[in-house]
Amino acid sequence: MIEFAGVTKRYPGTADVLSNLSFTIGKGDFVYLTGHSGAGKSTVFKLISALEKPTSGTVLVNGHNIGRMAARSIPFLRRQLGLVLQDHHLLFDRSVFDNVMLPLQVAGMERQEARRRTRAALDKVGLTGRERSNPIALSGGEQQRVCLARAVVNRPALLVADEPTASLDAGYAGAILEIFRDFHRVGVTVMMATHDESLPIRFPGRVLKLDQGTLAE
Amino acid sequence: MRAWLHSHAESFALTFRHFFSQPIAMSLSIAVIAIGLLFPVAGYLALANIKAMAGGVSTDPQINVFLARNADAAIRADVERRLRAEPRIKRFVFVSKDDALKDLSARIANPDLLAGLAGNPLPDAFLVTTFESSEIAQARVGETIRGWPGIEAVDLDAVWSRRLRILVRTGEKVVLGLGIALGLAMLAIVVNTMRLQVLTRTEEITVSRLFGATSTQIRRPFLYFGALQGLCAGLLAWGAIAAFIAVLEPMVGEVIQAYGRSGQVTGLSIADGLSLIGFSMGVGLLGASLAVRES
Repeated sequence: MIEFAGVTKRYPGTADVLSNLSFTIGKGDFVYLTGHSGAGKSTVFKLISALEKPTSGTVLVNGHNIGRMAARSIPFLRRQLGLVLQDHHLLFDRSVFDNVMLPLQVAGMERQEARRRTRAALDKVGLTGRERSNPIALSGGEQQRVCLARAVVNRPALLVADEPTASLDAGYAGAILEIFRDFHRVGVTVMMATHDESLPIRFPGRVLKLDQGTLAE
Repeated sequence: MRAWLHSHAESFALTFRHFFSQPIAMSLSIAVIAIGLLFPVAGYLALANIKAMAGGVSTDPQINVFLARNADAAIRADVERRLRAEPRIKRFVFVSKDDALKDLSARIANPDLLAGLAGNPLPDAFLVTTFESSEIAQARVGETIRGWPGIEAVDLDAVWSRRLRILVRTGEKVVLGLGIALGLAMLAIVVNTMRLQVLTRTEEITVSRLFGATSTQIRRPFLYFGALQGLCAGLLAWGAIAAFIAVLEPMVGEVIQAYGRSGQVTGLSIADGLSLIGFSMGVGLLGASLAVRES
């Protein structure tokens, strides 16, 4: 599903953020991408979601070569991914329901089906009854659940999360992790960037540890 | 196809939601654009009415060829044949002395004055239009006609028609210049409004992109927004012009009557109004497209 082969990423005027990075994530894997702040986790996330292109090397996501993708094809790749963003990026001018339904609207799904799927996604993350709320009125943990519902509403085979538990206390973080694991149990491939090295101990999974842009082990 | 239509419907619904979410700011923008439209349209209408009130005559210079009072049908036919054969003449119209008298009595304030005349003092005449409109060319044609048998007088109306023509053409250029300047001002207003819209919706654009929105999908609501803004401004300008003419008409009517003429102020025709709306929507669309080009 994801393959990094000799990937280097350098921003103008900086040292290499990623240096000759290689790894593969297969279908059905549950992978933690760990490392300190600045290790390159977010850059990996940006490469997978085609927000950036590699300076050299090859990034393959669902068979698409990110470095060679035409700009017009990128949106269609993103529709195949479930993205959970570090800064939530929830829209406070609309309800929880409308936030979650956004990826389906973008994909042009018929309204009735989109509403049905949105209700199902909110149910899976335990937010039934909060559909009409404004996200700003929710707690940090609930906002993260909204993000998760939005990521899975289009039923992606690959779920990529950038620090989904960063701003949550241990209790909320555990609950969010449980939801990720539920999706993993039904066949969804999960890749989660986190700087919390205790998470893989509490919730076992394959670990890719980044240190200064390269794999530490 | 269904998804494509659905996507457009969603964009349109989104546009409406944003359009009515800031009613005061939006009304002001529309009013400014409508005012921008009003000036050139008012100028255009003023020119159209001046032309009409100048007697309904063409601003093409004419040569008035008056036949002798005693000219009979044979002389008239001979002159007509010569006019037809003259290659410098574009067209001509015969005005009989009876028609001329009828026209005169319709134009003067007190037609009873003509009732006291012993007979019709007016001659038969031809109104001649030449291919070349310059004074020199007209004078040459006039000189030729003057030499034909049965011609009493040849009157070149080049002077007054030239003045009117210059006046109308200058007015048209002023209106065109005003139209271009205010069109650009409208464009700037629309671009500015749209840039503000883009700025206030940066987060929405970012999130939509992250979840697979194409550039077309991102731009579409803004383009609809520009077109809708243009539509409202065009309708407002049309309505304002119609109201202005309704108020102005009685006053102008009095002035026309005082000059012993008949006629009325004409407003925008349906075609003109639709063109105005089309232009306004076009500017809205162009402004929006310029504003979101980099979004």
